[in-house]
Amino acid sequence: MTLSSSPALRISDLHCSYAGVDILMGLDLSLGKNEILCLLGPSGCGKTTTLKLIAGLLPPTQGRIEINGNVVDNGRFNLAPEKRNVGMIFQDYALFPHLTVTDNVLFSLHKQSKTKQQEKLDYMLNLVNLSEFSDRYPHQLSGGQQQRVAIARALASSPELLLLDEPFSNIDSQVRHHLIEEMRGLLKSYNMSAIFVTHSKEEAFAFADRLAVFNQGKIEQLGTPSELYNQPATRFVADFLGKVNYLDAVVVDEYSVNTVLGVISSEQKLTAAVGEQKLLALRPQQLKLVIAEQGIATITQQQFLGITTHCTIGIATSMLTENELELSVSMQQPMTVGDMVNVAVESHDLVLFELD
Amino acid sequence: MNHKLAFSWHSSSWFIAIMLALPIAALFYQAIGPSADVFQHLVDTVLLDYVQNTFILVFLVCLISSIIALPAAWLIAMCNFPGRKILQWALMLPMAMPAYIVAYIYTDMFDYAGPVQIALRAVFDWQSASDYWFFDIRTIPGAATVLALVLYPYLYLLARTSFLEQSTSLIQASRVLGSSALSSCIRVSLPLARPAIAVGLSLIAMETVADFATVNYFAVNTLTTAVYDTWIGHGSLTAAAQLSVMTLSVILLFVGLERFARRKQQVFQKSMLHEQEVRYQLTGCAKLLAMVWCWLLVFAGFLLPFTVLVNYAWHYFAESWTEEFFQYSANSLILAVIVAGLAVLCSILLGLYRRLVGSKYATIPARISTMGYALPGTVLAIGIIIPLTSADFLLNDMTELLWDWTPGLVFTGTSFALIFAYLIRFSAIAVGSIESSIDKISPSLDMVTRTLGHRPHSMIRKIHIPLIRKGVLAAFLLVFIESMKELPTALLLRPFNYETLATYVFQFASDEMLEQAALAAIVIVLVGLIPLIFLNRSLEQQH
Repeated sequence: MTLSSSPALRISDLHCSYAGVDILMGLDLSLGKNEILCLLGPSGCGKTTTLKLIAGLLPPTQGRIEINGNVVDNGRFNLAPEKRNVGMIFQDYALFPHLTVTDNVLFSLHKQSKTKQQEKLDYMLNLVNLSEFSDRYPHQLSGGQQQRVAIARALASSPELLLLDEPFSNIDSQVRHHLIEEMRGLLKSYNMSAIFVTHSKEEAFAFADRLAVFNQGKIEQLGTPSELYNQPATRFVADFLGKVNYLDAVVVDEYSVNTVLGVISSEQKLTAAVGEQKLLALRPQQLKLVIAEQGIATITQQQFLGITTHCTIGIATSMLTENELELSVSMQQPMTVGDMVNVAVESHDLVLFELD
Repeated sequence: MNHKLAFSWHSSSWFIAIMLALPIAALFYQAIGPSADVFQHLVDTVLLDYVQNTFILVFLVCLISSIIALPAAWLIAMCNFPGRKILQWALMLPMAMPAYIVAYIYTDMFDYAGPVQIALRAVFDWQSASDYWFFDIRTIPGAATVLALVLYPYLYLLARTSFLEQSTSLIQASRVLGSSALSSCIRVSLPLARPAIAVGLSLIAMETVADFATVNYFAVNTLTTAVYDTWIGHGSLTAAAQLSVMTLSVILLFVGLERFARRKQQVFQKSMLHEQEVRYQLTGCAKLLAMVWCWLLVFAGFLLPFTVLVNYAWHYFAESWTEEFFQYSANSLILAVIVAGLAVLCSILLGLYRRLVGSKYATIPARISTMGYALPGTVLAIGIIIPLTSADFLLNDMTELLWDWTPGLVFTGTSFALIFAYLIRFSAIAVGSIESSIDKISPSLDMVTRTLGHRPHSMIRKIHIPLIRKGVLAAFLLVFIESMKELPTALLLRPFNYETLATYVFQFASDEMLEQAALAAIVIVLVGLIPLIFLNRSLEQQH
């Protein structure tokens, strides 16, 4: 029975081990209707295993999975993959090489009437813009076209939940962004609940409604992409989602910390007590450089990246020693290596971590 | 890379190739000659039956092999059940069993006087053959079953490899798209393995057409037995050659089929990402069925016949352990060593020639020299007799003219003919093995050696030969084993009073006295097991 109020997917206390190695250790996750959730993490962190457990392609060692309120896995019972009504897009698309585009798309519908099949086929091929390619074999298609066949095939089976395993990793970086936009639009117009696995943060940011950063079989943090990027809960999340500068900081009042760059104030109240030693995390674009002859820092390296310029600055941490602190800064206008600069910090909610 | 080579390289390579192709040319030459009505007589009487029998036999062997080998291959590749690890190589054991030995043992068992029918009569109290129906094993279906029992490993091996190489995600995709494990096997795994299955079936078909001993034992007349009978019985070389050419065209049909299938395989078998192997865990009834099925094949194709052989050897040890046994073992051994040595030498020469010359036409000698492998033993024998008889006549005429003395049948009357025939039949194996190890040597090694100041000959000695040692060893061993086992060629070409182990065993089997040659039969089986050990090791390394 499908309960309209239940989430598209609910996972509780999921464990999985393979060949004696624990891959998942107590995973909890829930996915709302029509939501796209991305599992992001380094390779080997258990994210693909999670997808396969949801699809029923691997048995969990412990835990419970519900799809739209129906229990598909609990300690005693595993529903066969063909009965779960999920769609899956594989990293290599897994198109059947011996079947044409038509037969691939209709694979799950072979028991239905010919007219129904034709209707569905026309609709699907039209949706993914492949109507002229219906008689081709997979090896006669480009990577992007193959991917669209895989999507059409998965959606043709009318799944309640779509699982995508690194679907963009085989696509040229030039067209990848376009395809991500296209596929997101497609899933949204189809009101599809989806879980998407990747190790690329750019793909995750562009594709997901919500993001779960995975590390060693556990979710480190779950939230919207901007929440995770701007307010990382752990240093792993902070580092994984982009470059971070860490500065030693001492809390001076409810809003401010003192660092080598001077006193920096937060927009929100800090949770740390006054006088505590902390580590302040700053993204490169939260720093602003101003050229000044008596500046506190020197530009030591510069890398022109087109949209921004990335540079490294060195700051003498104490007047007496040669000890230098290196910071990464993103800026709009290139400067010159060797320029002396002053550093300002854009106003935002400060992120503080415990010292190592 | 092009190297300037001495004329001797070119000439010796082409000489070997032409010598090895001679019998085929001779067959065609002889076939267009007049046959003194023997062939016409055959056409009028039995030829149609022979052709029909051949095709029915091939069809039945392929059918039975598919029925027994494909489920076994799928179970071993995709499922997990107790004994799978042992079974994956045990299922290849029947390959080592000569089909005529299996035929003999099952005939012995299922005959009217055999233990099975005696037991049935005792249980049901039947008095004579008219009281009940029992299948007759000396028929085409009987021969097909026996052949399938020892030939199915070709199909099993190729299909299993194909199933293993199929991308795991294809199977998983079909499951997620609503197929059960079984329906996913039928709709995805089997169609994807189609090219591999076609290759396996063509090999089985080729072996079936080439089989002489089993069909002869069962008195089923096929094209191959017809070639033998026409030569031995009617003494018509031309008619035998004409039949041989017919047999050859049937073989070529299957060779073509095999080549075609292999080409297709490249599109289908593009294994993308090889992930961890996920196997279906079989339980309960399915587990039991899988185990029974696989063990039954091993039992019927190897364990049972081998146990019977050992039992014969035990009970008839004194009759088996004879002077002749050692004499014929020595004959086989010496013959096999000579053939293997020569085949390896020729293959090294041809392989290096191809490597050093590097132009398109330099591959031709090696290709020509591999044609012999497709020839059935009887056909090859006819092809050898033709030029060697002429050579003998020519030699004797010349010596008579010059010195008024004749040396006799120097070529056809000695083991020269046998060695020549084996060389033609098995050099393909050696060429294949040595060529592939030469191809593994990076061309830049050649270039670096030459820039370091070495001439081609010193490069061969210092670089190529040391690097292909393993391939040479494998080639020697494989040719040696095949030569030990070869039967039909030896039957037709052996000199008077000369026996190899295989002909010795076959004679005794034909005379319904296999018991007394059981030791020799066991030796043949054991020699046949050697390549399986190698095969298994190379498969283990792959997966």
